[in-house]
Amino acid sequence: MEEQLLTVRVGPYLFGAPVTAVTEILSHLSVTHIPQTPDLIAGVAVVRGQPLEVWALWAPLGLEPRQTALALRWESARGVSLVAVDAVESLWSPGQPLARDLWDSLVPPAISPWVESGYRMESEWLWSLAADLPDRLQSSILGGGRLAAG
Amino acid sequence: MEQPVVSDSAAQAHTLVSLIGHLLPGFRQSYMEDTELVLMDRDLRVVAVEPGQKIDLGLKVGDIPPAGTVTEQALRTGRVLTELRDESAFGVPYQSVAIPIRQGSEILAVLAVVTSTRARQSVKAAEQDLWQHAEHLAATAEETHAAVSHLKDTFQTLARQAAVIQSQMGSAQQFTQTGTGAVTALTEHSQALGTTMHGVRTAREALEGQVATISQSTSLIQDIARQTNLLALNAAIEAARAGDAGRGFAVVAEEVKKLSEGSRDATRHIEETIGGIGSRLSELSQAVSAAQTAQGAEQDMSRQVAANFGDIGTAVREVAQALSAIHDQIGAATSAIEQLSAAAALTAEQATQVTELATRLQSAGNGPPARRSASTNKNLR
Repeated sequence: MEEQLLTVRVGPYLFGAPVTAVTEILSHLSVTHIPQTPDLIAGVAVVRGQPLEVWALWAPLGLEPRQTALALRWESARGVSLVAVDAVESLWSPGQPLARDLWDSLVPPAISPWVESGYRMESEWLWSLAADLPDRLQSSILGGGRLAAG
Repeated sequence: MEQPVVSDSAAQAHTLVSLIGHLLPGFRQSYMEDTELVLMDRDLRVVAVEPGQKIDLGLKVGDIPPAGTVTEQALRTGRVLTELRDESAFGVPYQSVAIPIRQGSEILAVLAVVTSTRARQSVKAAEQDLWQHAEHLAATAEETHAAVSHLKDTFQTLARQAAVIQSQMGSAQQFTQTGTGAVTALTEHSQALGTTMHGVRTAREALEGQVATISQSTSLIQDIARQTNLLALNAAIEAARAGDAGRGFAVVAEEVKKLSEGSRDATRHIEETIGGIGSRLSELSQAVSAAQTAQGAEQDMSRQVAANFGDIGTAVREVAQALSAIHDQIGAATSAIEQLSAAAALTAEQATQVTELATRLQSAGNGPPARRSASTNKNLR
C-alpha cells in the first residue's frame, strides 16, 4: 500500500498522520477531563459505546490546552485511542523523506521522539508522526516519569 | 306882520333881512339832512336862528359868533364859502355854507347853512368798517376756500393712495393664501416622506432579518461542508487503507471532498457578501435616521411657517378691514369737505357782494376807495 499521510494541524504546526494507523476522523466529541492526569491526556471520550483515551500534543508544543474539537482514531499495538488535533486538511502522498539532520533541530524537542520523518510541503515543514504514536506517548508517561498533574 | 315903511336903505335892508329871517323854517324843510339855519346881518349879529332836529350851535338872536368863521369871510368877500369844522367850536362837527344875500351890489346879510357831519362821519366810519369787514371776510373766505381746496386735494390723494394700498393688500392676501397653500402642500409632502421613510426603515429591518436568516443558513451550510469534508477524508482514509481495492472509492471521496471545498468557498463568498450587505444596511440605517431627523425638523419648520403665514394672513385681513374703514371715513370726510368747499365758495360770493355793496355805498358818499375792488374774489367761483 502506498504510504499516505493525513495532514493535520496542532496550533501552527503541520503534522502528517499515517493512514495505516489512522482509521477515522471524529468530530463533535464530548471529552471528559480526568483530574490528576498528565498534560498529554486530554481526557476520555466515548465513541460508539467504547471509552477511548484522548491524547493531546498542545502541552509539549507549548500551547494552551483547549476544548477538543477534532480527534483522530488511532490504532496501534496497544489498541485504539484518540489523538486530538485542531484541524484536518487532506491526504497527502509524500515523496522521499528528508534527512533527519536537516530538520531535527527545528522540531520542538518535546515531540522529537514521536516524529518519524520530515518533509517540505510547499513552504512549510511537515513532520510525520510515528505510527505507534499512542504507544510512545504511553511510554513517555510511564518511562519518562512525566506524570505532571493536569 | 306889520311892514314898517322905511326910507333909507339901512331900514330897507333891515326889513328885508327880517323877512328873510321869517322864511328860515320853510327853508330848513328843504334840507333832508339835519340842518340849522343862522341868518346874520352885516354886523354879523344873529338875526334869526332855525335849529335843526339835533344840531344846535347854541346861537341866539342878537349873538355874535366867534370871529374867523366862514360867515365872516363870506360877508367880506361876497362869495359863497364852505367850511368843515370839528366839534371844538360848538361841541359838534359840522359843515357850514355861508351864503351872502345881496341887494344889488350891497351885501345885506349872510345865511349860514350849518349841517351836522356827525351822522355823515358815523355813516362813513360804518362804511369803512363795513368795507374792512367785507374785505376781511373776502380774504378769510379766500383763505378758507384755498385751505379747503388744499384739504380736498389732500383727501383725494389720500383716497387714491388708500385705494392703491387696498389693491396691494388684496394682492398680499392672495400671496398669503398662495404661500399658505404651498406650505400646506410642503407639510403634506413632508408627512408623505415621513411615511416613506418609515416604510424604508421597516423594509431595512425586514432585510436585516432576512440577512440574519441567510447568515444562519450559511453557517449551517458551512457546518455541512465541514462534515462533508471530514466524511470525504474518512472515505479517503478507508480507501487508502483498502489499497488497490479502494482506489475507485478514493476517487469518489476526492470528488466529495472537492464538492465540500466548493461549498466552503461558496459559503465564504456568501459570508463576505452578507458582510458587505450588513455594512450597507448599517449605512442605510444611519442615512434613514439622519433623513428622519431632517424630515422631523422640516415638519417642525413647515408647521412654524404655516403658523407664520396664518398670522400674516390675519394681519393682512385686519389691515384690509382697517383700510376699508379708513377709505369709508376718507369718503365721508371728502363729502364733508365738498360741502365745506361749497359753503366757503358761497361765503366768498356773499363777501364779494358785501364788498361791492360797501364799495358802491362809499362811492355814493365820497367816491370809490383807493383800495382793492370787489372783483378780487371772482376767482373763488
